[in-house]
Amino acid sequence: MALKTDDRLLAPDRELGNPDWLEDPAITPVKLRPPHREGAQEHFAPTEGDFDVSRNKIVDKALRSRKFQFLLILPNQIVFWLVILSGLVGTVDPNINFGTAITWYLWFCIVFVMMVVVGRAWCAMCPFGGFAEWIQRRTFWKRKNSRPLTLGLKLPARWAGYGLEISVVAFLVLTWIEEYFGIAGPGNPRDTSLMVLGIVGSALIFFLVFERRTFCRYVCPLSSLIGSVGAAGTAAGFRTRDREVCLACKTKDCMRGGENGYGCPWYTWAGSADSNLLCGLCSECYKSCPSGNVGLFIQRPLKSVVAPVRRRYDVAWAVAILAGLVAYQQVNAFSWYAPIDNRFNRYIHEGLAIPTSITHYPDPIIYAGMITLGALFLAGLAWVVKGLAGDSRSALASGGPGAAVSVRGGGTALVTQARSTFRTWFAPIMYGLIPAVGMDYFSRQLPKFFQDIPALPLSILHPFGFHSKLLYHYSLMTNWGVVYAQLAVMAFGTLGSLIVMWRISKRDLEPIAARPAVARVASLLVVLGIGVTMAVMYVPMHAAH
Amino acid sequence: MTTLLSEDRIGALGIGSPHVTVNLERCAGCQECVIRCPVEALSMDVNSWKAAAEDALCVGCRQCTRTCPFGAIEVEGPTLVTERWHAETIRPTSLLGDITEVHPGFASMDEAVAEAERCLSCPDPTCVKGCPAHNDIPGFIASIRDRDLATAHETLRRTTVLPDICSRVCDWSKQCEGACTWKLAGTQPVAIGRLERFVADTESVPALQPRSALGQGMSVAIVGSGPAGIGAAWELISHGAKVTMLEKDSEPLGVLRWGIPSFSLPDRVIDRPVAQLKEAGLDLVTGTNVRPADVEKLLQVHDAVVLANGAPIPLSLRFPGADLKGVEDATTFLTRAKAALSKGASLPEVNAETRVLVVGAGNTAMDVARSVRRLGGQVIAVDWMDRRFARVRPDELVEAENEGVEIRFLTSVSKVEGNAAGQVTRALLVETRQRKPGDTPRILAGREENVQVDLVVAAMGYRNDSEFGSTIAPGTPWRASDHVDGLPDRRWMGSGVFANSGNGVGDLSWIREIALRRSTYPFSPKVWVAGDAMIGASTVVEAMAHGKRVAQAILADAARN
Ligand SMILES: Cc1cc2nc3c(=O)[nH]c(=O)nc-3n(C[C@H](O)[C@H](O)[C@H](O)COP(=O)(O)OP(=O)(O)OC[C@H]3O[C@@H](n4cnc5c(N)ncnc54)[C@H](O)[C@@H]3O)c2cc1C
Ligand code: SF4
Ligand code: SF4
Ligand code: SF4
Repeated sequence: MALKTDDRLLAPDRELGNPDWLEDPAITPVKLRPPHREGAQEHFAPTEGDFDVSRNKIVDKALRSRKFQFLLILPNQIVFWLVILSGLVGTVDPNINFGTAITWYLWFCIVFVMMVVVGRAWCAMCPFGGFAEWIQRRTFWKRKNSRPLTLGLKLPARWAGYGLEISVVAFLVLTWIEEYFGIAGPGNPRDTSLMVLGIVGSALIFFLVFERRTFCRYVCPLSSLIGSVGAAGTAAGFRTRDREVCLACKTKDCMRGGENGYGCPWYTWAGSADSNLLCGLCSECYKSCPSGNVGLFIQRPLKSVVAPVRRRYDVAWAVAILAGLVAYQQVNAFSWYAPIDNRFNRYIHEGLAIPTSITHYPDPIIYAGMITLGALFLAGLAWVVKGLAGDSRSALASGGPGAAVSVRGGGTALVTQARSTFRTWFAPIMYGLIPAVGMDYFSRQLPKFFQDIPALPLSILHPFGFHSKLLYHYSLMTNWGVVYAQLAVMAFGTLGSLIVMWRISKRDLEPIAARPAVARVASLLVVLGIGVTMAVMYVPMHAAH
Repeated sequence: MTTLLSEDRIGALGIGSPHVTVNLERCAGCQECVIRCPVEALSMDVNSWKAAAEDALCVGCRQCTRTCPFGAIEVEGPTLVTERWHAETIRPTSLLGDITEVHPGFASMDEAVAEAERCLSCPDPTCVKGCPAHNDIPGFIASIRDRDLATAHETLRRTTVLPDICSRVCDWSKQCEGACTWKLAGTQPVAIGRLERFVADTESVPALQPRSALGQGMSVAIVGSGPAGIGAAWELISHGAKVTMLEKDSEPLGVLRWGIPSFSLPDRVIDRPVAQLKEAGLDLVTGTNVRPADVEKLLQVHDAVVLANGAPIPLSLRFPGADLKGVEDATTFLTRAKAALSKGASLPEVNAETRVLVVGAGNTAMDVARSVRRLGGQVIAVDWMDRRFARVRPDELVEAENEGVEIRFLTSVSKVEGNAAGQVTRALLVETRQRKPGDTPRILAGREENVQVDLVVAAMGYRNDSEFGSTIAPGTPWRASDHVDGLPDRRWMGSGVFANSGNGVGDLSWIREIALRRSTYPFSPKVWVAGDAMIGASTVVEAMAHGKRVAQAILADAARN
């Protein structure tokens, strides 16, 4: 009788009393060293207490399906090509053009809600990366082994060392372009189309040049925001169920790719991820792990803000810069700020002899300058906290939970944790600000949502000849109503920040502080102060877009 | 181990030491590199849970770079290994009639041990995957370091029954040595082939020893006595089965006997396996040509049949004049040439004036051409492939050229012409072009040349005997993975054998592995196929490995029923 599978010959065959000659001779001489275990307990995904939703049979079936992500991407793909089309050929009235209405009134709000509530949910369904990935893999959903359509370069270590910072810069540039051309105003729908095409195009170029989702992890303008703010979300991401199984695993299919799934496109290992920062929720590791050792975990909100034992310095700076940006935008919405901005403009441009033709809001120098100042101000606050609380350790001995990991550079000397005591204070405090900053971004979207969303049905019907202006000026809330909503959201965010700062301080700051109580109070005051300031700014903004 | 260059030498050469960079942003702490570094230069930084490297221990083998799933580790700087053992090819003062073996072995145990010390005993040895039989290379090399050749034999015995033969005829550059971590790192691999030969030549290959009684009471017929048949017979007999081997020629061993010339494979070596098999009870029946209709009859007497009848049909010449006198195939020529040379004689039609045209420049063609030189003739070998993509052992090519063989790549024959007596006299050569390895070369119009020839030998390759039908049984899975076309075994991917191999040795090894795994499926109930009969013209070691694997499948099958 024929043997059913060659595995019966290759694996030691129990039925035959395991004669040694039935072992796979290519594998017998493999004598791997035992993996390092000391410390694994702390460094492997701390999923304790989280809920593994993939234990549910239906969820499991969905996640195992190769079509899972394809079906998430498809609707968005259709919508965004309609956005592009509608922007190019539809009405020029942005309020009722499908492209602008859906992008700026609905999509932006939903993305923010998703990132705060879930994490990288958008990344799982993103049509930009999704589109480029279909092309890169030459397939919509199948697991293929054919050569991917890409030069397959790796982002040079020097660049990768900047972590989220490239994405932060991309976000700043995109926001500047968007403000300069008034795209999200929204302005001419054609500009929205061009912007979306620009994003799809750059994603595609990156996918064709670099390996995997290098674009998503390092370059995508939204990645840093979703990644850092998403830490507040409830999706812990795909993580290891049993760390012992991973330690014993010699093939790492979840990273390299296995029979049923690709290797993690985000360069994340389910085994060691300690936050949801870099899990794109694509489910490839879930499919590829031959031991069924990956689960999809749901965590308490804010857990990924508090939990990481290795705080990333790049994330800390991302939070500081993103806070600087949103503060800049808020200040710009003040009615009294415009003349100041104009004065500034004139002054700088006369001084530097820059042609006045480009002295248009937002002035790039003021834009970059104010954001930098904002970020440095936050860094200064962390420095003050450190000064007040006093650092009880000698420099360079600053390991332990919560210490910042420098992601720059490489080589043995840098493998050690924080290189300066400042980082071990700055990083935890910036993580503490995440809920407030996240909610600040969310609040900024509320006026557009409440005031313009009623026009959305019109924009959908417009191409079909329905040109009523019935709901055109209808707003779901008055301006003051919007401001109250914004204040409520900010209060919620600030409360979140206070809670996480309390816990972070207890775990990460107090053990290294000479005056632990001062560390706690000072760090709490920082987040409270920032939260309140950002909230209060919404009052004079009076629901301005 | 003295793999490392001594510190003085590193200093004197000014080559510095390797430098390992871990891309901390990308390192996920999976330890794939840590568990595979041969010299424990990598460990984990417990605080950051990232790989940490100690440059002072690193030898620059770059195994870590190849195995890291995320490409997060890079190594710069030299490979710290001593120079590979090198011995000049033996060049007789006069080639005429000389059949001394051209490749010398190690002259002494010390020499062999010095080379053995270059081996890193890699935890995940890629060389083993490159070897079609998957010999435990670091294992037997370690025994050489211990000067314990009996144990080295024991280790080899688990996977090969032809260490003395394979270590002479294998193309190591595309097998074990091509996959050695040093080679993958861009430097000279360990001389694995020569070390294996040292074991087999210095301490004679031990006789067949019984290993189990799994095959007791079982009778198997093997058709063909080449490497595949020998591999199968050895395995079956050592597990207690009774084996009858049916060979069509008057002497056993097939290609090994008539084809591979004595200057590559001396006669004293080839008789050993069959002699030992006969001693252990093999029933060898020569002069018996088995036809497809006979297989049913064999099954009435035996419990299983192994078709190991090789790929005996030469690919025929397709140009005008191929039927002239003086045009023959490599099998016919080599059989005559080898017989004449071993008797110290020559062939009547070959003398110093004879111009021989060999069509093909693969391994068989080199054997033909070098035999012609030893018989005293002049020879041109033409091959329509580009030299870069030629299917020939690089060392053999160079040696043939050194022996005066004129080799023209990107050249084909468009016709041969003869005189009134029907004897070949002239060949029309044409130029070809081949841009990529897989491309079929194209003939370029207008670039022709006439050459005078007295003998044309076709050495373009062989195919299986189609009368036995397709050798792939219906329903036999072609691929190892049922889901993803061509996706290699996960353990193979983990070893890093597919990375950085400019010589494509990883992919080649994997293709061979698929064939090896496929050989475990019977062709039809109770009938298995092994070696060239299954996959077409291949190599001695592959055929032998198939034979062993088929025997294991037969034993497993019997044990199950
Ligand atoms: C000239 C030449 C040089 C080569 N050089 C090398 C080399 O240097 N290195 C290397 O690795 N490989 C080399 N090869 C390839 C290698 O020899 C073969 O791949 C290998 O011998 C195949 O082994 P096998 O047992 O499958 O078939 P074979 O060795 O061909 O053995 C088949 C046997 O079956 C017998 N047989 C055939 N039909 C019947 C039948 N109907 N009934 C009974 N018996 C039958 C044949 O007589 C033969 O003895 C060379 C091949 C040739 C032709
Ligand atoms: S393949 Fe599975 S067991 Fe192996 S490391 Fe990945 S998750 Fe762990
Ligand atoms: S190059 Fe080789 S020796 Fe050096 S760290 Fe990598 S695996 Fe170890
Ligand atoms: S790959 Fe080379 S160095 Fe490593 S075990 Fe094999 S022969 Fe030795």
